[in-house]
Amino acid sequence: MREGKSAVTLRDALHSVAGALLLAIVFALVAHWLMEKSDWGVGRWIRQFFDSFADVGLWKSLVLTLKRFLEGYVCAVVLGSVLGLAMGRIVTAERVLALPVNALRTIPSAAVVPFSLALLPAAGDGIKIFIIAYGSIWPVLLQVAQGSRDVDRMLIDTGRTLGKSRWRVFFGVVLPATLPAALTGARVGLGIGLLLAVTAEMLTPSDAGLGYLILDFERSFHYPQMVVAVIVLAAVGASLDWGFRRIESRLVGWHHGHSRR
Amino acid sequence: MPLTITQLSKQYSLGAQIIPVTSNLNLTVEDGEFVVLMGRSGVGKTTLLRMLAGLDLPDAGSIRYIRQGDESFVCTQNEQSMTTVATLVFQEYDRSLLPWQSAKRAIEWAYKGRGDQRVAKVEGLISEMQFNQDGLTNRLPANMSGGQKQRVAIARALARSPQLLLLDEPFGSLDASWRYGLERLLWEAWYHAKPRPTTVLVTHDIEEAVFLATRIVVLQGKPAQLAADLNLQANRDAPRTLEMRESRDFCEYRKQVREALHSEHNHA
Repeated sequence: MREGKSAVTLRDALHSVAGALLLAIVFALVAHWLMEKSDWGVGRWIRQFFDSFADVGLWKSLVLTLKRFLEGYVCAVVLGSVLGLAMGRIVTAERVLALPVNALRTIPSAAVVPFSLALLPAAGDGIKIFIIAYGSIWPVLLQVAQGSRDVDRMLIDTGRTLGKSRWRVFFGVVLPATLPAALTGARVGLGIGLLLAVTAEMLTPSDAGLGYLILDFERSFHYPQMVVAVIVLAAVGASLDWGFRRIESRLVGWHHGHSRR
Repeated sequence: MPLTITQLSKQYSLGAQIIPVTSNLNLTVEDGEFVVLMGRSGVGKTTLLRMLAGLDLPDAGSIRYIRQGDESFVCTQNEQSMTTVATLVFQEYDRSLLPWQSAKRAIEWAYKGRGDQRVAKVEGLISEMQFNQDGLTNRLPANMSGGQKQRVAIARALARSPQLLLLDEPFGSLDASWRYGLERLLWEAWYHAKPRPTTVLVTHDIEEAVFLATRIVVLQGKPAQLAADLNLQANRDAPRTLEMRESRDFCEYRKQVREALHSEHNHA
């Protein structure tokens, strides 16, 4: 099956380079188009582009956005896991929660913003964290519910027949067996959470954060700065996803979905 | 009497149809006996083992287990207290290994207790099972063959040293040499344990039954009833060797078991 490891890595590297080139072309086209809209010269455009990387405000906004994202995301993962486990393992909880969960999760996240604005104090981080948590909780909850429900009966019987108590079986068998599904849900939630962090900063009163910055740059025709903010956002999203995959393969490498690669 | 099964009944409902598995089954097993349970597929051997293990509840009747030398310690089928003394090796050994546990980790997990004793027990089982030679010690189940998984499942059950050891066709997918080796290993573990675990093993293999058992019980019919109950007196202390499998007693027992199983066919 293997045809020399170096050949494979060389081909992998070429594929990565091709992907990076494709991405660069997309950005160049966008930048070119934006350049035509503004009346600055190319030189000034490029200078502004690179200068804005050194802008402290950009990085402060990034930190703020990440902080809001993390707060909302952690809430979603914790609450989603607890509710999901309850739904997956306790029949009563499943019966009671199925209707509210299915009704609430179908509300588009963007539609939650006006509700939140009407119900919560509009200023401050609370509303943004709520919107992030609301959007990213569902994939976690559903995956954990499904995953914990589907734990092979035989594995649970194995724990019991080795004399493990109910709690030991729960922590030693049910939880680890649910972990692959939970991580899949958490990774989907990660993307949604990041998206909503930016959306919330655009749609609720803000004076900082990447979402706010991008909108502000657009409105004030600071296109090079806007492009940089978007690039930073994309890079952050990609690195978070990459980091998450690393954690995933470390934690659930035994799972067949991860045995390849 | 340590293990007493009284008037045990269990049925399954398949849609509107009710299928009786056992009805008013009675059986007593002596302390430290090695019982081999035989009978046709579907006669209810697995169901009986699961009830003995405390994993399934009977519909009626009772199971009682009294610990050797401690009359006050009684387990019954209720509240699933049988799980405190019994360990079952599943026929579906494939699905019973935790996918994230290596062979070594599985044995450690099953052993109650910590420290040096655990290390000794784990190391002992690993060397008896030759996990190191086969590179299995730190391997995950996904990368093991069927027979290798089966060895891990058996080692794990032995690691717990249960008072009541239940095995459901534990050697099914092993090749002949491993099969004989593991039969011997199981017998040695049982024979030298103090006190000996009361053991119930299900098999379809007559040779294996006669090789291991001190007593062979044949179930038959629907609902299942005791069709034969053979006491293999000469087997009690006979060393398990290849010669033993050629001995006169062995051949005689084999003939008796064959006849018991054969008569079952004539009835059906």
